[in-house]
Amino acid sequence: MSAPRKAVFDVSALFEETWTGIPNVVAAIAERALTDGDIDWVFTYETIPLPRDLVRRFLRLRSGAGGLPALSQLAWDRQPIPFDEARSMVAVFPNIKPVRGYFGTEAIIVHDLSPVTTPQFHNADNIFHFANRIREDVATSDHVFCVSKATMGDVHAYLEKPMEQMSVLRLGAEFDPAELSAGLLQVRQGAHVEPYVVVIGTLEPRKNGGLVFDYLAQNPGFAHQYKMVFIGRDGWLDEKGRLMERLHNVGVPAERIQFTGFVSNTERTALLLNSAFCIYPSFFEGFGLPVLEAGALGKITVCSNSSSMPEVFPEQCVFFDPGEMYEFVQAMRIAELRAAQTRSRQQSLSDILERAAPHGWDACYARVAQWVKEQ
Amino acid sequence: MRKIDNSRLFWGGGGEGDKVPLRIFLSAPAKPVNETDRASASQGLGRSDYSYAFAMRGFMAALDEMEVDYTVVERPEAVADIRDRSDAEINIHLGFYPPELIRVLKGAYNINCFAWEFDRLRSRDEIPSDHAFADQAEMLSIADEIWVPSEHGAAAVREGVAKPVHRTPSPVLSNLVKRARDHAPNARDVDRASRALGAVNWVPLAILPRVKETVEQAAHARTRTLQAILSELESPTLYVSVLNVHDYRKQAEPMIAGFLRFAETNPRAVLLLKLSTPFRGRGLANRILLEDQIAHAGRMIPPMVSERIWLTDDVLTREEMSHLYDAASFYLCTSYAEGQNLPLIEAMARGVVPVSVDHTAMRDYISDNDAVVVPSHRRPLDLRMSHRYRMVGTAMNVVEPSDLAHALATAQALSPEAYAHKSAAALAEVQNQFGLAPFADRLNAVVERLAAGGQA
Amino acid sequence: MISNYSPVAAFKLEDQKDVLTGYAAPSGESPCLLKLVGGDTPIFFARASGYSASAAADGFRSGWCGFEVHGAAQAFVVSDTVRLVCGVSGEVLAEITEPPRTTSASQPGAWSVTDLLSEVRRPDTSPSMDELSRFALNHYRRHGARQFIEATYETLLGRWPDPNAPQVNERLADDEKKVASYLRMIVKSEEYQARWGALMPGAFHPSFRYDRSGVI
Repeated sequence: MSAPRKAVFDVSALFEETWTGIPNVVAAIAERALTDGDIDWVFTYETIPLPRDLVRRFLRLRSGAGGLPALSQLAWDRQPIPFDEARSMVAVFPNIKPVRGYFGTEAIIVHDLSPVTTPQFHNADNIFHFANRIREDVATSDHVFCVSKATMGDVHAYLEKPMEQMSVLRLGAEFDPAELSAGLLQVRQGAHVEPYVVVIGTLEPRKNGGLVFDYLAQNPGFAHQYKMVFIGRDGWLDEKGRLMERLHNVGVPAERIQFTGFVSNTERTALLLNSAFCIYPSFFEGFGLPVLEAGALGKITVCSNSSSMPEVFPEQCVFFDPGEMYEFVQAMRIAELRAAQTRSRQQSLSDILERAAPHGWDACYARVAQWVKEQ
Repeated sequence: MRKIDNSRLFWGGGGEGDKVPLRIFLSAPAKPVNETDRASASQGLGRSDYSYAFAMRGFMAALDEMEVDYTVVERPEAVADIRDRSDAEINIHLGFYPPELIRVLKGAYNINCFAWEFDRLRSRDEIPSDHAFADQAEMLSIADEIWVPSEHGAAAVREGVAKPVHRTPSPVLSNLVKRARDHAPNARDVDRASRALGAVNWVPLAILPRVKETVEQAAHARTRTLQAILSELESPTLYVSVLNVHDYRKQAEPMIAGFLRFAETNPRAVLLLKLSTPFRGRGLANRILLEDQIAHAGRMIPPMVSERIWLTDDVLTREEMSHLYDAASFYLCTSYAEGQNLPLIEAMARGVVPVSVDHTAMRDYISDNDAVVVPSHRRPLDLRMSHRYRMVGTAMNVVEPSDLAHALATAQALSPEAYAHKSAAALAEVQNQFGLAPFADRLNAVVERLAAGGQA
Repeated sequence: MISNYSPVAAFKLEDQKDVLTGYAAPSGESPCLLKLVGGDTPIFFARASGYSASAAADGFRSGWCGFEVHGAAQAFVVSDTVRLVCGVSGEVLAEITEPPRTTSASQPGAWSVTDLLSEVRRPDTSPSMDELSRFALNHYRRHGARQFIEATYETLLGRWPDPNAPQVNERLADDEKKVASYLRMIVKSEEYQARWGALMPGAFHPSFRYDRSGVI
């Protein structure tokens, strides 16, 4: 019986205080890597090996708070993996490569090429840091995991990486059963929420939230039936005052639009669960995790058909072109009808757990592990 | 319960089963790309004056003429694979992008239209930044085919890129005169045209660097319409040139110096310079001309103040441009290098006789037959040009003021027959080279090859 | 996800009306997970990480192991055997023998979205400033003023303190007053009010960044 393959997983993203997109992906993979006996995983901060307990602590806290002092100590106590040793190892970098051609075999995870293909949605710093390294990071990787076929198409088209050196690594969505229960209002006797729809995803120009305002201005009746809830703050919104006034003039009072401000995961899940349906009008995505989450919870999403979004959860989506109001209106109509049809059929907790199960992170980890074992 | 169909992914296009043979998609950058784009400049990306949106419109007009259905795509990068949404057997994408901004329509046959004016592309050592899209040759290679408007440009690109490169200029199909001129515009022609330009204001040339502000203000005080300018002259001969004043390639200094020299012995010659600049309407024409076309750290600029040269930075409508050309006898071009030079071609399409250099893009359509050729001398890029275009050692074509003055004298002395001949020949060149046929031939060749190969 | 929870070591069921309440103290560091089942069907999960006055009185985790379990009525629709079990070990903690009577305390009519958010948020909040102050003070004493300020900003405002964030008032007599005064200042701010309103984060709220060791 041969010794398990030695592999490196760079978990530097976990050192952040608050975990968003990329740290969550790293956490999901790390969690499973910790219990995989077939691979001898070494968790690193770039090339500095970390004690597993530190990784477990981050996973328990769901935060890297206090990690940097520990790292400073480690940097002296533990040397980076020496070059000679690294030559025989496989390394997986979930975002940026701190070294290139250092490990015997290197893989990178690419989420999207948005800073170079849609720079208009990014600030100069973002663009600078991404654009100046991505070509070499991809070129020096023996394998590129792309989170969608669309991203893979972009890496192939713009960076000319051969398809044989890439594969799709679909992201996952998992729900803590306690968080799910907290939001499952139908379990509580007599409890139900006013009708509302939720606009999911963070709020920034790329996410195209303004489309929803335009829609309400043209279809004020909708707002009388459903409250429009935006998850997050309204700071992104240009000329919010003017938009709200425009809505007021067509008979949509301000209280029919709600910005929730910051919400925790539990609160977000509750908002999705109790909505009539969800809206995701984004102009461009590398994957579209909010659509996966909504779909896994059994919600219908009126979803943009741009880039990767049609791949995520098509069976639960009604698609439209994010630049075409006519299509959005049609899609909203279909979603409304669907929501009306399913309103009486409330999901139980077991229904949700069962539906969500295949969309967790196990398949994602399995794909990475399989690749590691093949090297 | 009624089944609700939410399976429609893409709303446009034909129904299931109906496959059309061909669809053409076009796209260009959202904003015009020009030298003054600070955002591009800060990223160290290349600068380009080739107006991609204009070029795209030329191709659209041609497709309209051919009655070929096309779609303009606003965000080609948002399409994961066009074959998922298109009902066509063959999908062709015509992209109009400088290499640093190139976008492809994944799943289509991608043709990128791009103008280049130098003898070669930037070498690897000249790549301006680490940006993933900074290497021109690398970025051009991601298209399946490249169309360059001039043979000179095509040859330069071919050297650096393994994909097929074809000379396919943007068609010029509109605003052509129906008949060539049989004489240079006479006083009546000029008068009629100038009446239609009543909304355009011109200031006289006023370059005196040591007392810039004073002299510029004085020039501003002498603002006139064309009619007013002409009213003081007897049977004037109008020379015209159109340039983006921030474009270093235009080499406007010898044009001005040469014209002034010529004007010393030709009292009836007037040069009208239509300048395009984003800083229009602020009385800055002379200042920008000085700073971007004439100023040189290495030497003193002599005074150039004259009512024989008039500048405007107004935006002219297509119609007004046609009238301007109709009033002009000659069009001047003294560029260091050009990628296509649409304003010159448009002037020729109105029957204006060129007084022009015949290198780079102009080599395709300027000769003694249809123009008065201005000699030029190949020299390595100077400091300013090297810095601007981030290339070292490649050539530019320098024009001496005396070269231009001499050519102008030749032009002035043309017999009516010679003038008519050149005007007709110029018009014919435009019709032959920038008409529908070259483009249609090229497009059909692509479609046939794709249909035979069954790919795209 | 189960790895984020510890098995139940001590358990008390207090109320069985509409909602099952009580506390469940863990043997490890992480809180307990409770599962309400009707037969074999899971009906409701709850994290035992809320504040419970009786847990505090009984000396468990300074009170931070309380739970609220809904859905007992629904469980009885599914099966006659309704149980509360430990979500980690499976140990049966309580048998619920009678379906709860509906009380008039249930909110009539539709909840607003704001009501929904408040209700979801409530179990993870501190009942008053006092409970929060305990952790804040503990963090201040263990890690010093600078780290106290960082943890306070993270916990209460969800962000890193800006360079000109106010300092702790060193002129006050004792640590308790210093910490309390700083907390009051933040809690009164517009930014805090917009984020939390009248509520305060509890010891196991995802934003909570104070050191819990020594208190829990």
